[in-house]
Amino acid sequence: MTGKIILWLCALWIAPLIYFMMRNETRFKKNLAVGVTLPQSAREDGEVLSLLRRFGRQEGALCLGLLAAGLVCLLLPVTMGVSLMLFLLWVELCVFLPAIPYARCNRALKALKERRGWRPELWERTGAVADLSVAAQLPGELGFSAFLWPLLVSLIPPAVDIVRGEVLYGLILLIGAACVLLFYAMYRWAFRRKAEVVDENSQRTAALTRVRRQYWKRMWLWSSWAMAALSLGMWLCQLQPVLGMAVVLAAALALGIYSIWVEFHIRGLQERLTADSGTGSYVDEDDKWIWGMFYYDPNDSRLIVNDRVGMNTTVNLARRAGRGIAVALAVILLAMPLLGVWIIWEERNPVVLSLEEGELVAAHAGSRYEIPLEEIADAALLEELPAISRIAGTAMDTVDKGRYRAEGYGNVTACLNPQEGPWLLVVTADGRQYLLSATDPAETAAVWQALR
Amino acid sequence: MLLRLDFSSDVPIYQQIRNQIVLGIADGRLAPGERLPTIRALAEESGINMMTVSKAYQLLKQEGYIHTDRRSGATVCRREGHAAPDAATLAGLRLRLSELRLAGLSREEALVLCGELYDEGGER
Repeated sequence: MTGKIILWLCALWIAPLIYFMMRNETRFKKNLAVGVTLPQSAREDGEVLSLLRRFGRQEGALCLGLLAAGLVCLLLPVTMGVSLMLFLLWVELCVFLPAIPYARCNRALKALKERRGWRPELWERTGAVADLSVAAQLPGELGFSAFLWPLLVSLIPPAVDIVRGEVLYGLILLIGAACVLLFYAMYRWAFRRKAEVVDENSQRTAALTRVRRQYWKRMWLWSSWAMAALSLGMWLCQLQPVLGMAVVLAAALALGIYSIWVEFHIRGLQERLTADSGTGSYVDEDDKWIWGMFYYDPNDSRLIVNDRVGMNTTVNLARRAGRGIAVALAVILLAMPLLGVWIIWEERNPVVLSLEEGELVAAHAGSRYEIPLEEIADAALLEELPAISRIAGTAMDTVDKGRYRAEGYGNVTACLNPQEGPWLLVVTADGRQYLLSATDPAETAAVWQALR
Repeated sequence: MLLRLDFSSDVPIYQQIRNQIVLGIADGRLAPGERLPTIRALAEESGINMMTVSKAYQLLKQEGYIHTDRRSGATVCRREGHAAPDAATLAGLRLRLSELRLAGLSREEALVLCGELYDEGGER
């Protein structure tokens, strides 16, 4: 139950967050509201304001519905696997459902824009715009030096573990350093070179562009430091589990809060910097944005483009690679609940312990551990399971399998039922240790008798 | 200065870039000595091919509107003194004046219109 509560409490805030992001779309920034470019005069237009209010109400009702559904799922008396599947389905609904009122409001606003004669000429809507003065400015430093420190910090834990002989755990901790390198690559690859052109005002364009570029760099740099802290936290978990978990949670929390703050802060700056825009000549690229969400411009050679507001990025669906990325992301998102199905399969499968053709075999779901009998140097039956912590593998209510650290025994390979003993400790001639048990205690006792 | 490219136009993109930069220089939006974006930066900014931007810059350089340098990139040239219009400009002007005559404008009306446009500094 504790695991389920933690799982749901870690994610229930997604619904209100998406609600506030959607509500924020109704505030004019860069002459945009709900993905539609409108002139300054539209900000006082009764019909526009009515559409925006209706959109806000719909998103609010949706948010409350999703929160209620989440709380019901949290309280359902189901296993962890079923709860995880419901959780992943709920996350998908949180992502997809708010997009429906958004697309409908976007369509209604576009229709109103057409009726009011606010649409510019076709060539202006489909053409490209560039601010020569801002494009001539140098994009700033893209060096690696700022990322070097988090990289070095994230390399300390794996280096120490590898020197201590904990090679497997050291290699796992190397993921932190790999992520820092990945973040730097992402920062460079999707750098915000494109200026944020809103209208003829080059100073405004330069200011908007500067804001986006600065926070783009800061975001990846903060992510790198968070990854270094995560690496340190995971390393500390071996020695001080509580302190280690606290560091991991603090790093994840800090990064999450900072990311949300950056997104809303940039939106706020965009709103303030373009408060007086939308008169005279201004940029309108609505025809390139399907439902105001998906970028499609066959005349644009770029694959990665800026989202229209905030700090995010998106792909150009007119490019083959862009369509590939979008489809891959959609498939991953839609396939997420399958993870829950897999977990259900894992937790419903029993751990089986048996002696087969001169081998001691522990099997669970797709995993199988075989120990030739002639290699067994020692074996003991434990009535109490020692405290174990996972290095790599699976840890569920009904099964623990993979590489574990066992208090008083060192590193062991485990395949056991943690709920009910006894447990078998098997030591091979070359010093490997196994901690095993079957879901059915009688099976464990029978194998122990046969081994004796 | 905003560069607006029309992909549905019959005028090639490199020509549109060239024309708008010339208009920008004429009406003062691009000052002499002002730095222009590099070929790569302008291509990335507008989402068009680098070769297209390169072609426009080469044309502008040939016509003496911009100066290119390996270190500082492209800059707007200072245009001092009178330069006689070239044959292509004269041919274009002759064609436009003929069109005005066919549209029914008198000599005086056409000259007044030309004077107004000249005073605008080339603004569209």
